[in-house]
Amino acid sequence: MQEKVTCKNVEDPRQYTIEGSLKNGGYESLKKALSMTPDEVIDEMKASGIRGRGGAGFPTGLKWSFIPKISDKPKYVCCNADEGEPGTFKDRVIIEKDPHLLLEGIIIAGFAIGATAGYIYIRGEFFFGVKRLEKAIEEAYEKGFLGKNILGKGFDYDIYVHRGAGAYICGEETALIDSIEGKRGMPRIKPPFPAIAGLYNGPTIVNNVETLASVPFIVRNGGAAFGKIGPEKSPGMKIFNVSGHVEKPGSYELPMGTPLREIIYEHAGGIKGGKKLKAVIPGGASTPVLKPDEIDVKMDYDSVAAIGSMMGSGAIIVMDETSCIVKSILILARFFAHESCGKCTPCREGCTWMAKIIDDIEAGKGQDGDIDLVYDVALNIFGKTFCPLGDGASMMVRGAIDKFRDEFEHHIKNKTCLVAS
Amino acid sequence: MLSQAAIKKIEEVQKKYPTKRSAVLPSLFIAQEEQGWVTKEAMAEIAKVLAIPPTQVYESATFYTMYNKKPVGKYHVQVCANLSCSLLGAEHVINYISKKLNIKTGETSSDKKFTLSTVECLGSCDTAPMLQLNDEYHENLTEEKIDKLLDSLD
Amino acid sequence: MALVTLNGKEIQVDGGRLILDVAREAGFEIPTFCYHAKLSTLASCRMCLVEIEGMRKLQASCATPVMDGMKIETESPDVVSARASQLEFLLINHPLDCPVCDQAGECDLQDLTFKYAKPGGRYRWKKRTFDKRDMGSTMTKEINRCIACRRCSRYCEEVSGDFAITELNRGNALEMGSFYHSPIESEFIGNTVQLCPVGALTSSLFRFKSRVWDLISTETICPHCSVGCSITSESKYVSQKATHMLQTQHLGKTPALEKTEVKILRNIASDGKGVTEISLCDRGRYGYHYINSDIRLKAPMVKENGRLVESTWEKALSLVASKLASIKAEKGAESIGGITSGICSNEDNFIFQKFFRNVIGTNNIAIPGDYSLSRSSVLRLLAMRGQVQWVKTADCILILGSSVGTDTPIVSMHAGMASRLRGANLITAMAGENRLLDTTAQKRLNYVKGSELTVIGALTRAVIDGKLYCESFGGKRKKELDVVEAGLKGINLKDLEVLAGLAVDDIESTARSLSEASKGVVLFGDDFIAGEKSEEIVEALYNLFSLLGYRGEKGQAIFSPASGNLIGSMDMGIAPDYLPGYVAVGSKEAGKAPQEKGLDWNAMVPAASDGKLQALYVMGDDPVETASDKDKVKNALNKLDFIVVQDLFMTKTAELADVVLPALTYAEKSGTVTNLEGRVQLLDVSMKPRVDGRKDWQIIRDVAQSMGAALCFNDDLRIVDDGEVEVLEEISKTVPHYAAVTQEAIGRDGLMSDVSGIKQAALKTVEIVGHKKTADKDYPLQVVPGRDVFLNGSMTWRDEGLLELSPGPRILVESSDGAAHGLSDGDVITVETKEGTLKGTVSLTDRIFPGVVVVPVNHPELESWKLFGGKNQETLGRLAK
Repeated sequence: MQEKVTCKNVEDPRQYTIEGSLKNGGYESLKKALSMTPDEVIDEMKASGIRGRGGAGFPTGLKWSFIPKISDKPKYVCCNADEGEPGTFKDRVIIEKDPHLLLEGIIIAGFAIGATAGYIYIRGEFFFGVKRLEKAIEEAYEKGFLGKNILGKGFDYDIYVHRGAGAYICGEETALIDSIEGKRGMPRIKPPFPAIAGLYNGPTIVNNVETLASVPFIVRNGGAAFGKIGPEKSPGMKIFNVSGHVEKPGSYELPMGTPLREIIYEHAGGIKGGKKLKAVIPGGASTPVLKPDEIDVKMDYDSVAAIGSMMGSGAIIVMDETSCIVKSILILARFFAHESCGKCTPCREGCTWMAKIIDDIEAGKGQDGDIDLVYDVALNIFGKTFCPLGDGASMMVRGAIDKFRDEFEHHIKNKTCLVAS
Repeated sequence: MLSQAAIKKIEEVQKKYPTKRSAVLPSLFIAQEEQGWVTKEAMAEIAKVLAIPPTQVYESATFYTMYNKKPVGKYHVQVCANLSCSLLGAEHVINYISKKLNIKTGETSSDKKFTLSTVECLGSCDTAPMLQLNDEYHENLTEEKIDKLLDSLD
Repeated sequence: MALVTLNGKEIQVDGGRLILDVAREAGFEIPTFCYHAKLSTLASCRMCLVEIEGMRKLQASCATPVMDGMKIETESPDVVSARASQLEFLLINHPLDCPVCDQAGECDLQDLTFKYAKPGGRYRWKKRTFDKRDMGSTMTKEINRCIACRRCSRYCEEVSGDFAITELNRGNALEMGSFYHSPIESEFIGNTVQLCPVGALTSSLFRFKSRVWDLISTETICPHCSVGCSITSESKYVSQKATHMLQTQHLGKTPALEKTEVKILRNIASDGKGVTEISLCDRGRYGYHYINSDIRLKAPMVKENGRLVESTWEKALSLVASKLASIKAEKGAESIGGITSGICSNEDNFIFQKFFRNVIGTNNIAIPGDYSLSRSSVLRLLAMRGQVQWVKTADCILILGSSVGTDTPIVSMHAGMASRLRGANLITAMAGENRLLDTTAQKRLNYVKGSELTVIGALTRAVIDGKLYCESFGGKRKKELDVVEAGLKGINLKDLEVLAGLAVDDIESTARSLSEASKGVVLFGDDFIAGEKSEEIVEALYNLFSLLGYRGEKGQAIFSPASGNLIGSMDMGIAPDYLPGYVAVGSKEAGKAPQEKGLDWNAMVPAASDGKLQALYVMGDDPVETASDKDKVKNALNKLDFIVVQDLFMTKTAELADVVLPALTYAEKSGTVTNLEGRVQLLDVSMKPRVDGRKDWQIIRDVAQSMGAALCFNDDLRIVDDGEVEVLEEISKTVPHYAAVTQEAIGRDGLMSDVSGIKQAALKTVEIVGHKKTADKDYPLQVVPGRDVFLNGSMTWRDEGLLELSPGPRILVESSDGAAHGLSDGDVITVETKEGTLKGTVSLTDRIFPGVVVVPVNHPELESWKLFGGKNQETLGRLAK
């Protein structure tokens, strides 16, 4: 079986302590990285082919290489631990169970781009995770993995924890940067991209927890070792979170490209109570829903995209035959309306409007034409918003109507739910 | 008025950042920890300590949902109502707690002991349904578990 | 250069420019809401989306630069449909209350909907609504109409720096608002009304007054300070009558011939004209109500049996003429004095001085004020006419005194903006209130009122000690340096704390910053040069600026007085010792003008008391109200044989007059004014006269005619509209630095008068004896005269709008001092100095230093002059509840 990358030691109950981490080879990759040149580290990242685990799948090595070598402003690493995509809980596992692995990744990233500090932007609700991280940072300073002249290699670097305060949009990298700066987390205009002018206008990389926690493996084993796992174009191990109607909901670190059917039926133990599968959301709230005949898809960025959905963060939400699609979509539509930052017109007005229409349909107050109306509103949002949040809401709604139009129609025609009736 | 200790904490937390405005979010948490919610006066004080306009504190406080802009009960029961929890009975959990505490979502009990809220996904979908009580997660909820949890609070 | 294809048309443009700008220039219309050229890019309204070949999504043209080879479509089906859908989104929650919306007719949402939206509505749900909020006295917020373009909040953050309005909440609940929705107190907030593209923020003072299409617009110049902002004055001229006629016709009645009332209903900033960008201060924006006021003088008045009674122009003019002639004949021309105001136009002032010099035959003319400068000092001020543009781009700015902020808010705003947006080093040295809000990063120096000369001496000392002067002063101009240093023997930097209350580090670092700046600017206003030492202060400033090279090479100094046309009045020779163009009285160039120097205002008062002065002619000034020692002035004026006042209102001085003549406001006349930069700008007639008044220069001309003298005009007395052109022609012939000034040359943006030909005398020694800070444990506070930013003299005190804006006569007490005295906002306290006592309402503030109390001197009813004993100097005081 393939060696795990980020969850290798999460079962070890002492892994969250510095001693536990060191016993399992913690910070060995840091030592190796500091003996390399920053460019060599970036080259290994490029060679690994790793793509950002936050959901967008941008090649991480390439992102790092955009950082200018010389800058008159300090450079920063931002760790995106604002895990808020419904159905996603992978970063929380790493933060709570192996915080040192994450710190090690953040330090190596800082070394590679020549940063002076790293900020971990963590969801404000993760009180326990914050405690674990702050303790781990304290231990890392004590051991000389952080602070001045790390491991005697002349590299100075600090890590700070910055708590979010309840805003899904702060998972968007420029909103995250604004939020660290104390502002409302509203996406910024790009360009300039964060790599040129990010946090405090300095060159900045923003990477997801899982991405950064993969860095020690890549440095230790070489980029090639990571790159040969899974499909060539989106290689590596990936944490899949399975929730909803399955026997064994949980986090599963598997090679990219593992078929969705295998994840649901083998790793997660199949549908709860032996019921029939109705639908699967493959990668978080904004990814269009799949029908049971589509679950042979391989879970990697390109394969899922090829069937019109997205792998996103790898949050797989499984719905059995008793689930009402309309109600599920209503929950997600309300979620997007609640989390829209309000900056741009189509997202601010459109998301709420969609939620209102679906609310009527769900409640049996829908009118003829409402399905087409909400579909058209979704189309009017798509591609016109400032950031991808609105696009996600639009795809989610349209995907559900495309696949389960009959359920929506039933709600309108019969003023009751197809499942309940 | 914020306590001297809170003001000291606010001054301390600024050191993490190169700009004072960056300390707005942690400062609001400090105020909330002390007073249970963020008051107008606390925001004005934070602005003064950080030497920034009060609107910059206020605009952020109103953007983020974790800052309570009105008083909440001693125990803030926040039930996840997003999809994974909903599939596994979040609605029932909410109704059960609502009935038990005799308050609707968004309300605070008359003895100021409980506030019941629904929240978006808390990243604990594998242990659905779940809730957050102040800063602690309570997972795989059943009626018995809820009874045990809420009855144990004083 | 980049070659781009716009809707199939190839054009060459500079690479990096925004698609929006390029397309609009090429004649392709792209609609926008959030975009504003003077504000940062937001790209949030999504109205300006365009299609670019090869790009998956439509792009915001306001945020996307053109690149070589780009193929852009601004009217493709996708673009057209995207626009329509944005409008649908914006309208679903909009109240659609255009019939009662003041913005209707100039509303971008209305116009773009008309142009681009699809007909029909698909929204049947409840509209989002927000609570009604009080935004302060001038602004009405109908936030349900808001489209969240954030122009207002960006303005507050980027331009005014008051951070008054921001966005609150998020998503669909996003709302523009102030801190806890409290009423806004900012002298710039009116600008957000003008910037709002919809009817969300409207002017309370304009509310329901007129449909905008019924307004007549005139571009003219704001009279309320020396910045000379370009405004568009809008009046309602015909609509009432028209409406009335329509109604009567409809009812089949004969329309009654009613007199149409004309009123100025609003002022708006003329963006991009003269010194003006998007900002006016609210004093300028809302200070038009006095024009419409019913308490204006409506007809000439003549004193009969001790009472002023209405008369005719003919009678009044002949009385003035005969009285002046007889006094001149009996007591000599020197027994007649004339004073004008810094508000009157160049034409008014030119004719005034000409009348006095040619017809009366005296140089007894002056402008009363807190300072009186001789010709040599006024010449020094010519070297301190920097440009407003310079402030915007400076990298180091020193503001001396509070009045820059209170009297010329726009200059102060630009200084704050330079600091906030471009990181310019901003240093303020103030004894009183600092209007540059607390959040503009600045180094703040606090000096003791009355120690202005010491402050300059200390800075000069630091420049010399630190060798921070221009290189030449170390070499070939060493002698001049010695001349300056000779006066500084009394200034030792170590003593500063005792002297002016300043820290030596602050003075040294300020001197260094000024010296090291690549583009520095020093701003100062009336309060810094006021008092008995005006001459020395101006001369010492000149010395300092010379040493630093702040005479145009690397830095500029800007004198920014409160009076709208003070600079022009000086240029026109309103002074006892120089003629128009600063020609010295008695010099060869003076020609036929009286050879003897006349009396300045400070000399006229005692001259009136002891009978040397028999008559006083007052044009637009009210010294009895504004004097720092009112009783003295009033008693002196009461001794005079004859007083003529021409003014807009029955002022305190007019009450003493024998003849009162109604003048016209700036809105009712044309002519020119000169701003603090020396920029000559055109006034234009915004409305026909509301009263049977005449322009100031016309009145003087008419008096002269009645005296049998022609002031080069032969025109009919009845013609009231023209004449300024001829006066201006004479000005440009007489005043060398106005030689190029004609109405055509002034044009839209004004014309800089060229003072470069006026020679400056060599540097002079200014003896500076350090002002020693006094201490008195019974009077622990410094009481400093201040000014209410919304008011500025006679017109503003009678302006309903400005009185509404003004917080009222409030005594400013620093927050911690207030706490120590147990004071809250609104408490009534007594301020006591050794000179006097007054009662007033407290306002707690962080805009002043601890230990300082500021008492406004431009609220006549407060009688603050009692506290200062008629002098502009350090005043110690205490508070009592």
